[in-house]
Amino acid sequence: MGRGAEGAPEEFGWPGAEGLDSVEEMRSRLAAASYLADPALATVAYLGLKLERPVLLEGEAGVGKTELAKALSRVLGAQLVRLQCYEGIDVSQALYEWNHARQLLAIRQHEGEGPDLDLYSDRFLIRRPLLEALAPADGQRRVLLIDEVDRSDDEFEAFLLEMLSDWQVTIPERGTLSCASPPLVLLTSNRTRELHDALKRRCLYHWIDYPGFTEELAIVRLRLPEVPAQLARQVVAFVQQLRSLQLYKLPGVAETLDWAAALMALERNRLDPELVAATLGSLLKYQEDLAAVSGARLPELLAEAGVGG
Amino acid sequence: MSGAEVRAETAGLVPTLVGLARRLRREGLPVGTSELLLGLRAAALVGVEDRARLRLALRCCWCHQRGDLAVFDRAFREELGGPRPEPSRLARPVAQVSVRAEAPGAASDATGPWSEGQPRGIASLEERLRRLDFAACTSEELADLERAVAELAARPALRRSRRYRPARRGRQLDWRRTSAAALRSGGEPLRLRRRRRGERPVQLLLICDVSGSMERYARLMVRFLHALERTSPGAEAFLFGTRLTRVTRELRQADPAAALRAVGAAVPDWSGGTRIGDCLHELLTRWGGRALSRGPVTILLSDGWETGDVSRLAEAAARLRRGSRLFIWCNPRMGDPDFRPEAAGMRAALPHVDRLQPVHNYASLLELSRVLRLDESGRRRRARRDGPSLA
Repeated sequence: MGRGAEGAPEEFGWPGAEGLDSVEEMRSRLAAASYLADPALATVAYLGLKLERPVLLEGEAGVGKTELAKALSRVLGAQLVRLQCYEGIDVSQALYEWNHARQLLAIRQHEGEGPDLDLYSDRFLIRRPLLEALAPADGQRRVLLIDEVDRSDDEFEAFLLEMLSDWQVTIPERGTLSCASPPLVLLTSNRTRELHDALKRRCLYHWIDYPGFTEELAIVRLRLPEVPAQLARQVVAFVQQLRSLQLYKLPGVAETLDWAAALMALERNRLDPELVAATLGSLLKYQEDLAAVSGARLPELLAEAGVGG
Repeated sequence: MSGAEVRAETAGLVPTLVGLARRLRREGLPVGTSELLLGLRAAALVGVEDRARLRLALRCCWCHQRGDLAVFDRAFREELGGPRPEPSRLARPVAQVSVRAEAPGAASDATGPWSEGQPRGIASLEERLRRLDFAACTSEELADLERAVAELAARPALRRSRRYRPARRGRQLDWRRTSAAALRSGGEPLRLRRRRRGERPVQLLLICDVSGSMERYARLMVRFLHALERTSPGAEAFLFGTRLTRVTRELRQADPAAALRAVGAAVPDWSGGTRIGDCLHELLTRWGGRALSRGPVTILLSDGWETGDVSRLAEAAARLRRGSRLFIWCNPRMGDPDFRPEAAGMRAALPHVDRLQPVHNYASLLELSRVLRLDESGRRRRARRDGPSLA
């Protein structure tokens, strides 16, 4: 990275983007990277890449928002940079910070040796995720995941908007840094608050729903090939059944996978009420939900899901 | 982008796509010129022969929230044809829209329950009116009270934010400013700069019972909610009787009369039965992620008459309290000197309530907004119930 705009890296592509020129191709490459995307999701990922627009993914927890970023970084052969948002996150944690101690020491060392000490050169700069994604040290393009952006506050959202609109950031001591080949940006939100309209309008939008039975079964088979077919079917059928109940927190795909892995660890090949009751904690994370499902209702639910007791 | 980027095959379809964009704009989606151009670029990328593919490409460019998706799909089908898209599996109805010309209320009121009386400035309320139980008011007195309530503002309590601000006596050293100052004085940190966490208003979660037993209070309560909604940013508001209705949007408008009318139109079960437990449960499952994520101060306005399962109410109240900074139950029946929390619902929920407050007259509403203001510690006040106890 150089001072001002002159140091912007040259235009370059993605190592893995060769021949990636249709939605179907994106879909099959994601599948090869162990991520099953429906056509809508593959379209949004493809357009985000080709139009150089950030992608805003919304959906319940555990439907694979974060997973998609990981899969895309595998597909593109690009490093994933992840920024987890929280309330109060600011530029010094997200973009850059000066190494103050080193600056002060450098002044001491330098005393009396002449006036040409640059205290704002690269060796005093601590690069945080956003800078790493916008102006990577090795010149390679990045996939940038800005996770749970709804947890950050208005101030940070405004900063993000500026960055995502012009692909440039300002470091007051160094000038404006613009980025010729921007990263592929994915933002995720759990909708705990409404994002600002301007930020939404900057992004391509997609809502990820819970998958249907067939899709979820395919995900389990792909991610956990060691799970026997019958058990996988039972697991998915039961989880789908749970999602039709009024629970505080419905299990996501991540929970389905956790549960299937837990059953594998117990070396069990089929579900029965006792086993389900003992392992329900991998699916449901609220005591009230556990109480609502376990007990007398459990055999009933299993029967409705077509799982023999 | 330049027009040349749009491939020839797209060009034939451009007028149709512009028409679609215009229609979406009429239906409330913010599809401006920049979105239109983005959509055309997307169309050129995926091609226009396959309508399903075109629909998905345009959809992610022109929709910005979940509610937009259905509007878009319908408009696309009607303008461009293509197979009927599969309905989202778990899609829930966006809102219960049951438009009614006027909500039922006290029909005896000469001006009609939801119309505005004569606008009349009210600087201060007579002492008598401050103490008068809402249930005992004449319609004129009620009109006076309503105007007074509309002027009640709750300066919301503050909580500690996680964002740091420069401060003279902060606990933490502000390295950035300290070293910037040191560099100006030749590397000598002559003065340490400090910082501390800033403050932000607490979010309010307002839940109001509008069932039959609350009929005499409901209108004033909604007025009060409107005053709170207007003065506390980000407050969420819900009304319930047998079903739950989110009225946050309706209450956001500045004009109280218009807000009241909108609320009246949105609530399908005015003055009906009460299923507090079920309604709170729905609030927690469907809206909990939004309403409870930042630890709000929760205010539940209800007399606690429950026709549903009281154990369900107790469970929901317990969860509501755990998710809230402070859970205040406001009961208009507390105006009665012989009041005992005997309604089954009230008894069941009482162990889970941080504070029980009366809301039967103007003075009690003033007191409530004082409570909201004073709780600036930002900490939950547990087991300090100022109302009467069961013992």
